[in-house]
Amino acid sequence: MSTARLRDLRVFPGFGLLSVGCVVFLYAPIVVLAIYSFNDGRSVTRWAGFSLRWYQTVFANQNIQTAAMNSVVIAVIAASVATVFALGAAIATVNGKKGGGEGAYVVLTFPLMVPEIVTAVASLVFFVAVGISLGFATILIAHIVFCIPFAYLPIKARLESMDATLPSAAADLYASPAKGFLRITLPLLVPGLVSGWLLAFIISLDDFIITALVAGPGATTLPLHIYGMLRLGMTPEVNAISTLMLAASTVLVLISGLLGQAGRKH
Amino acid sequence: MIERRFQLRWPLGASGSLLMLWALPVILLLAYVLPFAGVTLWSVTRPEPGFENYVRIVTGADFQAIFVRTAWVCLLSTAITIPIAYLLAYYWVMGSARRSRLIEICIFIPFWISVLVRAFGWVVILRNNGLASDVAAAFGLNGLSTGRNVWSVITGMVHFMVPFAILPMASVMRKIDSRVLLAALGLGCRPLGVFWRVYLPMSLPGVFSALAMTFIFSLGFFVTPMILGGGRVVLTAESVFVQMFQTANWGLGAALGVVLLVVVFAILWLSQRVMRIEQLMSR
Repeated sequence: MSTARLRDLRVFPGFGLLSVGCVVFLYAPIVVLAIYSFNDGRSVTRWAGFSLRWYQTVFANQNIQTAAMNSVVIAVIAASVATVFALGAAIATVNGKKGGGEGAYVVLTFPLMVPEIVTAVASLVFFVAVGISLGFATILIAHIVFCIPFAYLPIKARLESMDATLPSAAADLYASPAKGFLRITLPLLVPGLVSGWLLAFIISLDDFIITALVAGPGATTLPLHIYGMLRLGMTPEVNAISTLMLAASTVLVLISGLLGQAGRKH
Repeated sequence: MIERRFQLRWPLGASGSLLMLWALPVILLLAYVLPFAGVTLWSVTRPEPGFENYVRIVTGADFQAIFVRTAWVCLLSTAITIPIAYLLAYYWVMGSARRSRLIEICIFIPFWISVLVRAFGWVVILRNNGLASDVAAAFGLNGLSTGRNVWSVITGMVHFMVPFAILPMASVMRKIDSRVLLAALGLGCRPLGVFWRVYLPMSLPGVFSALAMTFIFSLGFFVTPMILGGGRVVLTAESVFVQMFQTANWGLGAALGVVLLVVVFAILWLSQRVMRIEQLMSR
């Protein structure tokens, strides 16, 4: 009965239509991109029949493959290292609520609010001052640093929602701290670790500004390559890469969603 | 009674965990503070020691124009983002299961798509002789001004920020006790009245956090104005880049970066009470 009454709150005249408009707005550019990636012509807005030729072009393009490979390697390493750091930080901040956990939390999440261009310039200044030559290594270091806060938040959320008595029970049953950690805490944390890793991975994969500034000559990633293509002129080849990236992102979102649901059931 | 304060077991012991608590924040602090100190140093030493760069930024008509434009674009795009995000957050939290699922998908998928790709999608739609002008022409509206202008930039920014703005609002809306709404209905308030007089005031904290977050985000926009504005709509973040890398005015670029950072910190400080960065992540 009460849900029936609450339903009254959902049917404001016009709101439904407005929300449909908002959804269309969110999807419009993405759908248009995907449709024209199958265009037979060279135009990104004039339809000339269906074809897969732009996908063939993408798969035949050595530069794109190198750039994509660089992106994936950097994202995997950066996300993994950042997740390990973030795990340590999350356990420490959740444990140390009284001993400065809040302060550590603020420090850890602050970078999320700093405009990326400022971080990018700062990283560049730092690398130049220290004397590390720009390239693959500087991209990797910068990515690890800015991925840590993103990996940290889901892990911390998972830790806080976890049944806290289980590790204590393990200790009561004479599990050594190391054993209790490895066999109880870590397995329970897996959903948080996975979503933290995925978030860090996708953030690293998509990053443009910081990468563009610390890449130096020679090193390139997929976003840098796409930007270069956009400057040269728009062809459906960019649409095809974008659609492939979109498909990859969708698969990742679905995986993290399924894991999230599995995590909630426990 | 023995107080059993919960302590997560963890392999390094108590002193190890204290070390761990501060090790990473300190590393991160260094990773951010040292470079930022470097930038600040550059801003007052290049090309020569002094506050020349800041004087130039404050008095130069070109920079004033950039700041005014940035302020307008950010205010407008925030003002457009918030109602759209509120509506979607409302249906996400209150809507029927099916609709809620649908909205959840459309929040999270664009969330994960590269900012470059999204901006490019809008270029295709909005550029001269693009899809938008074709559609408008079909309705008899010719000569509609599209292409590289402020409105394209705002469209792209709003599109990027809506999913981010939904999260803090939805997390506050979820905590609203539905019994309060039922009570208002039961006491004879009409549904629209319940929304205006009960639901909206109770969801305002979420709106404030979304507002602060969106505005701070919008200040740092770089890729979207660059692609959709095509050099005609230069905002502060892009001008940092232009000064550093196109005109090689390193000191000036650094000073602009410092100004941007100070403005962001000031807004963060002001909004600290209503804002929790954590809400960014909570579903």
